Amino acid sequence: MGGASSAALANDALLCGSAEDLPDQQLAEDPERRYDFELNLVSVLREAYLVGAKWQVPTQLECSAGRIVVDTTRNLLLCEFDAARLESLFKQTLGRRPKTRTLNRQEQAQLHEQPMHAQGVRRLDDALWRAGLLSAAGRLPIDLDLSRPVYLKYWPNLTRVAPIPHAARVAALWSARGASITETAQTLGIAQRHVIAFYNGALALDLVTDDGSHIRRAQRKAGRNRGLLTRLLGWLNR
Amino acid sequence: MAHTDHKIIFTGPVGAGKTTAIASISDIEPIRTDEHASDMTTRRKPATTVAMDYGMIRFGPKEKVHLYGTPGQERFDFMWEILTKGGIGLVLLLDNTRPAPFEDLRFYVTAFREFIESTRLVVGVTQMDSRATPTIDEYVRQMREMDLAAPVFEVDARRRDDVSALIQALLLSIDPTL
Repeated sequence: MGGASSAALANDALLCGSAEDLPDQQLAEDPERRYDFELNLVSVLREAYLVGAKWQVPTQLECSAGRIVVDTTRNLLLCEFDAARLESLFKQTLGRRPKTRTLNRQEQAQLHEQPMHAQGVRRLDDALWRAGLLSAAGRLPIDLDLSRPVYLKYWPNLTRVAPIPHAARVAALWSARGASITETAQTLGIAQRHVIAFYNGALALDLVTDDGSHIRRAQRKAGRNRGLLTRLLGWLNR
Repeated sequence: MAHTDHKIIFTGPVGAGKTTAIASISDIEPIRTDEHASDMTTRRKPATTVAMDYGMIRFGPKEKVHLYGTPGQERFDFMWEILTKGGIGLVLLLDNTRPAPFEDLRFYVTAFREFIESTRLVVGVTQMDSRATPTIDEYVRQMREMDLAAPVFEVDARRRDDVSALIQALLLSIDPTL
């Protein structure tokens, strides 16, 4: 999960970009390192996900490739088209923002009776995560204040979303105490692009916040077991 | 059984995958004591069926972490407190196909609350390919209502990577800078 497995390495450049680390100020001011989350399909999918989660109903939207149904009740994303096309759609900027609406009962019944073809079905959590990573391509959201700490509302389902290096470390830190992007990279001794990638994936799943009021005080420190736990972690990562 | 060695506890209802999960990650052939007592158990408690699983991770010449799977049946709950003494943390496995998985969640969190408060918890939900609901999001919501924050992952107990991910999350929850 945090180690350099071959799968993780293969995903690295695609999902995390290849940008070098920059000093705080330079990273904050470089326009090439920014993108507008709201101008990408991922923002519409996240909106559909949140509406669906709130009302516990599937939602749908029309994008340039066809209809997409976001079914939070079953953790599914269903497309009228081959879901492989989503990957290219995630990388494009939206011309016009599609509207999201909830499915009525009849439409929900039809959805269950006439499921879309298999090529059109994806796991919703992984689809959102990948949408966040591919849309960002290693960049930061335009409105992200790099000086503010980032907290995690809860951990992503890391066994089923696309693996990226050090995801569990970042998740653990932001769940325990929060830290800014650059502070996180320094604290964990990892590349900024891996922290930025995690941020973008978690943003798509609505898991990041700058409000750390929900964070509970650490219950137990590693203390004298730290060495043992580190070696155990290394063994698990091999 | 009051080991003070390093150990990780696996718990959850019968059929949630504790035995399989321990087998997936253990360096030794797991000892299943829900059958007639093995050599190890006969030395400690002759001719007794004690109903638990045991595995081990060896990661150095002399270093090891014991993996204990609690008996799933409530009738063995007297053993849980003994088993958890000195534990690094708790891996709770829940079977998504059981009739009331949230009740299982509440039951085990309540039963192990003291241990969880002093260590860490991770939750693995099994059988989600057989039954997709409740979703991981719903488990998280349930845990929030219980004032509980812990990693919740979908897992296949047969997959070492999944079980490893759970344990890694457990360790990093103790100290993210490991």
